Amino acid sequence: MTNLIDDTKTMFWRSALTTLRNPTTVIMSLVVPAILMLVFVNVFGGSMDVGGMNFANFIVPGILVNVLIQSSISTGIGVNQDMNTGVINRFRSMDIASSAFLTGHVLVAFLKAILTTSVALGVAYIAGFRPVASLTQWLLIAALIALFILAVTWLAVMMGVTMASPEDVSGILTMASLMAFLSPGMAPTENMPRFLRIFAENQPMGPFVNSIRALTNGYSTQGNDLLLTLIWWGGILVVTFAMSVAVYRKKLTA
Amino acid sequence: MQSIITVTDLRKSFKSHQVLKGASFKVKRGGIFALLGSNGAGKTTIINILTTLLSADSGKAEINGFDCFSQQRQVKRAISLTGQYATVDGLLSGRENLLLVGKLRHIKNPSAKADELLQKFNLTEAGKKPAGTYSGGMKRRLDIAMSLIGDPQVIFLDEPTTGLDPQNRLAMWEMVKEMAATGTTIFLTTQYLEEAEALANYIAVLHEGIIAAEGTPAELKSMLPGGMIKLTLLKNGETITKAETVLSKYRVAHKTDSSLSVLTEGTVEELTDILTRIKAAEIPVINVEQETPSLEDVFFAVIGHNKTEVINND
Repeated sequence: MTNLIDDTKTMFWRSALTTLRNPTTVIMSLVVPAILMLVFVNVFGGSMDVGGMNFANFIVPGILVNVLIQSSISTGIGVNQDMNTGVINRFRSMDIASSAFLTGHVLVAFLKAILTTSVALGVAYIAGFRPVASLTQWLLIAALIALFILAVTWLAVMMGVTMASPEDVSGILTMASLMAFLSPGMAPTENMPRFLRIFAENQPMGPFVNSIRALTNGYSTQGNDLLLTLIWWGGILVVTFAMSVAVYRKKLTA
Repeated sequence: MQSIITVTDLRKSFKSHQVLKGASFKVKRGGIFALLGSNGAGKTTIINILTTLLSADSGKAEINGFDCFSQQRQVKRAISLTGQYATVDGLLSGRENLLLVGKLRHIKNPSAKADELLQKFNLTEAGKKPAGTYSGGMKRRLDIAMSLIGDPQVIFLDEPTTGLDPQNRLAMWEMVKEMAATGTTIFLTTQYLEEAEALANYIAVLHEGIIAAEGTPAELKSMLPGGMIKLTLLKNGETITKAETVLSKYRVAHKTDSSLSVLTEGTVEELTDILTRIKAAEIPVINVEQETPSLEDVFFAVIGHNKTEVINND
């Protein structure tokens, strides 16, 4: 038991140092979210009609989805590189708690995602984002974002342990991040072709984006959006967690 | 003397490819043990099984009396592994790499140990820099330093000199000898015969999934009885072929375009016979010498290929 705590602390320390020292990670997690937020609000904001809503208030959930997945890529790559180089074998040949390796990566990824969220929301505020949520609504927003981050982190970890190369991890997660454009996050779905609209409204990001948008603008969530968000992202979290652990265990006991 | 590692009838297949077909050997406590084999012979598979990274299909493997399959924790505490490629963390400094292992080995004062090892391996200066900026030789030194933390009883080195330049290779040999001098058992794999010969007290030759030969370097050499006769001939396309024909009853150990070495029992009769045959065939000989077989000759005699074939297989 003491090993579990000590080893997790050590792995957290290692993962935190390597994350902070990797310039790409810092750029992807902090600089890109800031730029995207500024670009979207200032470049597209002027020419888009989002039904009378302040454009920054409209676009924040979509950008958030996009940048949080992008910022998870470095986590996936980090796990993948450790798994596919001799690093994991050195760890495996030592008497250490086997869960510590993944837990260390996940804890750092979670903190990194919270930082990404803060930067994105902070820059959004500068660009004109004016949320009007009540305290209860803020708590719900925080809980939903935390659930989303956890699910995306484990998705990245799953890709990291399963895929053969960092390029594969990066490719799949980049594609996932682009799905934000096929959601209600970036533009109102009313103007999309019918099949796209149905897809956009019903893919996992749909109810999440709708819920965050409603809550940040002081409304309660519409229809089943809250329930569907919990089912989708809770489900993704459970599946990616179980898959990550199963594949990791299998690779460890080859 | 007590064995620290016992491997009995170890078998392992990857899909339909059978890599280990019943390998058995023992390693004595202390000293340097070399597992010698060509590329793909299964050396790393054996290391992976002994270091608990891989399960076997059947057979037994024990380290320090503990079973490598059912008592992995005890085995892990007794060993350390340095893989084929340096596994230092490039974004961490040399010192942080040592700290990491110290913490994971749960030693009392990882910080003091890190400083001690940096000094011992001549890395104090570089200790603060990211290990990713180190040269190949420095990375290996750091890797070896990491493997010493926690005072393991057996240190596994998988092809420790692969990819090193000659100078760093010699430095690595010195390091391995120093480690062994402290009483730690060193288990190394290599595809270089001269490496095994230069370092090991005991050598096992792994070929086609089994231990094809084993013994001290001297014992292995004695497996080629008597010795070799090397004939240096006038460089002329036909002379070698002709010499080979008249000496067809002897096994050829080496051949170049101007020399031929054959294996003998070392008797005077054979030497006379060889010279008589060469003389009768009127083959122009420049020089005749008796050679002691090197480990290389043993290796190729054991695995039954000639040198060029083995090199081409790489």
